[in-house]
Amino acid sequence: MKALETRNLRKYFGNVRAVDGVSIHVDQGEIVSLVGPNGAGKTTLLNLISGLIKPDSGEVYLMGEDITGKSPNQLVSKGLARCFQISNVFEDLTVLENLLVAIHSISGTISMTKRLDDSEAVEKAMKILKEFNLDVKAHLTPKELSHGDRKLLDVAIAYSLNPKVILLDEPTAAMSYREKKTTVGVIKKLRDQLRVTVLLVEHDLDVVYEVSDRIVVMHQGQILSVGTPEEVREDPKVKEVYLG
Amino acid sequence: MQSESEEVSFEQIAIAVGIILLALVPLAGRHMTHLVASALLLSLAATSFNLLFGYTGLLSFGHALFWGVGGYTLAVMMSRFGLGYVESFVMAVIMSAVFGAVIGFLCVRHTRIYFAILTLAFGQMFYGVAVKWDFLGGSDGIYGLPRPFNTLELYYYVILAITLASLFILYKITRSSLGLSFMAVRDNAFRAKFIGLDVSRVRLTSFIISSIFSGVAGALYVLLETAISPETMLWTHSAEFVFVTLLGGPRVFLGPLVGGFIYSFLADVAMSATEYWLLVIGVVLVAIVLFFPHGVLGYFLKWREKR
Repeated sequence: MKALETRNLRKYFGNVRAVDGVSIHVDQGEIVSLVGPNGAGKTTLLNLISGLIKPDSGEVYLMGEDITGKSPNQLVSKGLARCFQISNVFEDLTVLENLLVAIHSISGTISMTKRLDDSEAVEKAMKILKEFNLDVKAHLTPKELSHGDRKLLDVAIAYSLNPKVILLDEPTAAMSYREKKTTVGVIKKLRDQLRVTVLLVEHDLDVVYEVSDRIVVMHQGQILSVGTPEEVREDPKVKEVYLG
Repeated sequence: MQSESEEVSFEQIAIAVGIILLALVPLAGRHMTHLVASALLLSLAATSFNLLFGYTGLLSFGHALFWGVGGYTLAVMMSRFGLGYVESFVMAVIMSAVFGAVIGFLCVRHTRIYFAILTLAFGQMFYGVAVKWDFLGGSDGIYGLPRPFNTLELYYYVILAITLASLFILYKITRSSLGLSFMAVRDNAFRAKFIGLDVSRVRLTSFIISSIFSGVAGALYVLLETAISPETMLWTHSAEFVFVTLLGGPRVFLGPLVGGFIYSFLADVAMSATEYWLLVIGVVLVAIVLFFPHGVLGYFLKWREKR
């Protein structure tokens, strides 16, 4: 089943065709990576899917339901979560509270009578933090975390929303070799153990080839190539775009 | 959250001592009773203002409007419609909530300077209405209202009880999942959308709660003074809430309470010492912003944490 699908999605900024008739899909349980040179339209495509900007035309479907033009907070309740290129967390809350607010939000338990450290929510948050090796840092604030841990926290927040699909925007950007290895492990874990479908935007092709079931190559707002890592690696059009 | 268990025990002792001292205030004479009652109400208004500022990240420069709405509603209900204390007080709470909902709805879609200017404009607008509208007593306001129990001392205990109950409710809100959503929106409104929060709704909820308790403070103040005038809605009164909050510390729940007491006592001493008392207040404000950006209580707690 298609967990996520775009049909002929289009977004122009003046004369710039940022996303120009893009149709892609991600099957349930897959990791699909979106690659391409800078300015290819990858992040704009993620912004269109996640409701941050509205398309000029075309549709987006999540688990078969048309979600085109819905706001980010509406999409979260439908099962779409997103992480960001620059880690985007709640800086003055503790790591635990970062997850608690997401858990309360998705559970519909935002209320003045519900304690923020409600035992059920804390238990769930700690379990997720353990999955991401952040449990020992639960009481630190994000400012006290390493760059790699901040990115992991970003993913953990998204995962705590019980998503069907997670959009990851350059999760390994500016990471050390060791941090990248950890993140690659987490991305695989999302698919293999936590049963989440992933659409990944990534510049590091080693990471992409290692984790992806399929790869979509974008160039100048359009789809250049789609296939398994092996197929894409051998595609002469891709070689030309990347190697000139 | 990490040092909460330690802090709670310290706070519990401090709060218990504080409540005992507050209960004994009428023994210190009428001037002190009036001064502490005023300080309590200013502190309540500042704490409710801080729900919006320190917890939700929205700086209102017109919050005295809701103090005025609470106060004028109570005064009008009693003097124009002959309602009793309780009914008038309930109406004051309802009207504060209604004004909070309508004005909040118009303001919360904007943030930073735009939000501050909008709230300032609404405050000044209703100040103008109060000055010009005879029904509200014009520039003289409404005066000659009877004080409950006819004694300051007994009414002081009414103020103390309602203020403490209000502060308790506000504290519980800050420790609830709703309070956590306020802080999440304050920290990162953009990300808050991506965890499913309706940011405008969260801000509006905070605005309404904040308005209600500012209205409660205003309504109680009217009966302390037995009068209300348009000046209570003037921007300088709103600035007092901001000042008091910065003085005590916006990131600590009891910061505005501590700030409210320091301010009230400082103003009382300065006023009796010099006609340039506002200069004294100004110097203190500059010193606080320059040297204690986390406020007096915020600074104290940080110092205690380091030890």
